[in-house]
Amino acid sequence: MTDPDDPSRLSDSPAEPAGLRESLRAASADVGSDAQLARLADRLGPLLGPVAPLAPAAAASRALGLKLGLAGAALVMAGGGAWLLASSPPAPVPSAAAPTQARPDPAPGPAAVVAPPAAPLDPSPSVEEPPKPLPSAANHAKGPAKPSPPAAQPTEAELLEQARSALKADPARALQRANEHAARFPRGVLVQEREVLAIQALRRLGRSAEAERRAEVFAKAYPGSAFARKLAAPP
Amino acid sequence: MDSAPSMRTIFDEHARYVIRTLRHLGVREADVEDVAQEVFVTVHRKLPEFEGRSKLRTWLYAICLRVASDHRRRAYVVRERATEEPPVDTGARSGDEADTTFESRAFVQELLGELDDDKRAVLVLYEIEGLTMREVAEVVGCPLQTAYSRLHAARDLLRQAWERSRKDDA
Repeated sequence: MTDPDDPSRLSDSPAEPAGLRESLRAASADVGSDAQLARLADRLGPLLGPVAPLAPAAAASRALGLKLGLAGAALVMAGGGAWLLASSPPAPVPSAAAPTQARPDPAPGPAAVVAPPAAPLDPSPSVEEPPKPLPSAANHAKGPAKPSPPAAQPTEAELLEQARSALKADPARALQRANEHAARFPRGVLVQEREVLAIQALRRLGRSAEAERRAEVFAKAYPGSAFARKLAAPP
Repeated sequence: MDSAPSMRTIFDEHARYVIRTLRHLGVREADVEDVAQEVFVTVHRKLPEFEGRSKLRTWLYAICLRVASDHRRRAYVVRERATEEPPVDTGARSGDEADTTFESRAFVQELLGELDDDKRAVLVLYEIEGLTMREVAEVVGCPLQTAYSRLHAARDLLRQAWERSRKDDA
């Protein structure tokens, strides 16, 4: 990208020290690694939709994309629609969690953009189907401390995809999945998405008062969120 | 705009630039993937609002800037600065070329570390990411003249840091 009014870039300017120019060129040429991209693609999971042919991301994300392809076009972000708010027909619920890495919720921290919700956003204990305890906690309470294999648990994105898929046909299951997400990933990166799904599920279950209370808390926690505006819009 | 790009397309075409930019904006290597994840979650949330009035890439840079800035402000980052930094995963080639490239990139990050956030952003976007100055001003959200002033000041500081580093090596 060039503009005739712009000054020469340092890396192109012979007046600058050669070493400085070379360092800047090296910085510009840094394209990261395929392994790093694949890890990032795995973390983002269904948010990315199916893998495009010849995508540069490596095999791990490609395998995930193929699996997600089964969920159909509902996952595709084309047209600018968010998958969580999509009005497409419900896709079949994946029968099993993918053997991708489970990302347990990190310790207090990395989520300023997706700040952890205030307490009211956490699922109420009175919710019909309380979140399941973590298998690792349930199974090993009395036994020797043995970490459960990560493949046994769905990732954040997979849990929410299961919730989204179930939303229309089985909103109770969608709510249960959202609540499980809340229990396992209270400070996850998809907190907003989870709350939107929970609110939509509550509305479908006819639990309007709970839904509106939760929507109100959501709007206060994330006043600038596109989801808040959509939730507030008349159906 | 014809139609909004899919998240997959955005990721495939821009993820490498996002990671690179975050690094140059001062995100530690240990945190780059976490912060890049935040960038794409933010993109996912805001994509319905993207109206194509700016180029997708400049829109993404603006998100990177905000997310990286939020990240750096978090207290735990400051607390953990003393911890050991893992090697930069840049996909460099093996052998001497890799060593030289690695050193050059690490050196640039060291130099950039001497700039404040405003100057650093302008310098990274113009000198490394190759945006025009109009685009830089749009991304950082300042008047064009202010962006020029920041670039001028950032270049001076960069040259001074370079000279110092040469003297230290000598």
